[in-house]
Amino acid sequence: MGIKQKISRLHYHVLPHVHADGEQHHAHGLSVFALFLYLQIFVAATAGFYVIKLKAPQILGTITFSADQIISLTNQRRAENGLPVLTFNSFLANAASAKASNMFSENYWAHNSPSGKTPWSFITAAGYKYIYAGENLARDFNDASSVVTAWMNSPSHKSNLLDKNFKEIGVAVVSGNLTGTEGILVVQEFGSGAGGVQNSSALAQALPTPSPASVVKSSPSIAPKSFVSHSNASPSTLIVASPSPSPEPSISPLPNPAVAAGGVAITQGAGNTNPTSAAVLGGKQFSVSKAISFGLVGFVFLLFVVEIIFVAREEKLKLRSGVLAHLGILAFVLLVIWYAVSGAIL
Amino acid sequence: MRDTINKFSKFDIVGHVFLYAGLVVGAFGVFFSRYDTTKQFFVLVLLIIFYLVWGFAYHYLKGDIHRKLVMEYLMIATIGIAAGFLVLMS
Repeated sequence: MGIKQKISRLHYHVLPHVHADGEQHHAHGLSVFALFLYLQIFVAATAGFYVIKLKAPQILGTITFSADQIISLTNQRRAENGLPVLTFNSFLANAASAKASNMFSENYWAHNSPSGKTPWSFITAAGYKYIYAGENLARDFNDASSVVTAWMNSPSHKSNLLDKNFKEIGVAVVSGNLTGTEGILVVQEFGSGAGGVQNSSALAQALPTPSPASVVKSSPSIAPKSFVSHSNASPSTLIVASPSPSPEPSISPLPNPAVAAGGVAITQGAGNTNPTSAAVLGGKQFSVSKAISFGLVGFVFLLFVVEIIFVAREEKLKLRSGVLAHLGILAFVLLVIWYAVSGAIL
Repeated sequence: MRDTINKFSKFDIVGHVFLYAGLVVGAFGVFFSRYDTTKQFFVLVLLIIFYLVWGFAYHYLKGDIHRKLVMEYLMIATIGIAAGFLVLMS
């Protein structure tokens, strides 16, 4: 076959057609062999990303964000909703770090640990005694803004973010491998205490605000400390916030973001910012994967759309069996790809 | 186009409505499992299994099932799972 003839038959790759023998053929781009080739592109991309992540993850960019950004964005959302901003609390930050550390060491993605530790046990162990407490979790997001947006899009997480009972916040942003995935874990602890604390300088010496992964990872558990308490909150706050304090916090249904109420309030004053931040390599993988998948599945989908349109216009052609089913499932796959976001919240 | 639609039997129409209803249910599943990529992938796999079972049953009952068609269904199903895996799980 000459080149001219080949060029004149290029449209056969994208359009259904009738061969000389009178048999109808679908576009060559939709043959089983062509579909097999598309599949190989997915296999190559998956294998390629795996090798790149292993050998040179810097190629795929670096994700980095900090606890400060999370706190700032949280307060921004609260201000937008007419709520007072939350003040940073180093005890809650340490509780968040301890929780993150425990999640890595016990390798779980949940509010309660496999060994039965609740979010409140970390908060109490860090020396923060509360009237109200809450916890939001997030993992594998590419930036701080996406984390807070994801929480705001979830009614139960949003209620934590915009809870008027919370006065203080502590956040840990830690990178590491959790349940087999390398990424950034965000633990956000909310609290409302009635007293002040505690020997914050002693805590700072015992538990210096952790720098990202290394310190947090090397310190899987934080022992409870005893503190000298001093009150810096008004008693009226206590009365209003804790109409019926109980020694044991109640736990909201999980796996919704955890919220607890109760306990005796002795908390510390706020002040310094939390420098905790984390970085992880391979940040562009999600967007590149999404682009490849959407492009390739979209191409196959379009070929089926073209086939339906062409068949409808050409009298001599008939609609192949199964085309509408293929079109439906490919549309569904496209929806899944388009709707996918990197990261998960709990 | 009207001729093409007229060629559909009642069986074709009911069958495809059933398939598309399943896909709509799946779309809700994907929507409600946002921010949980594992769940989304699980929904995708379930829907692809549904598509395969539907396809084999539909073409068997219609009497036009053949090897090439089965391969086509399998290839598209595998592409769907591979695309979902690449985006949601890798």
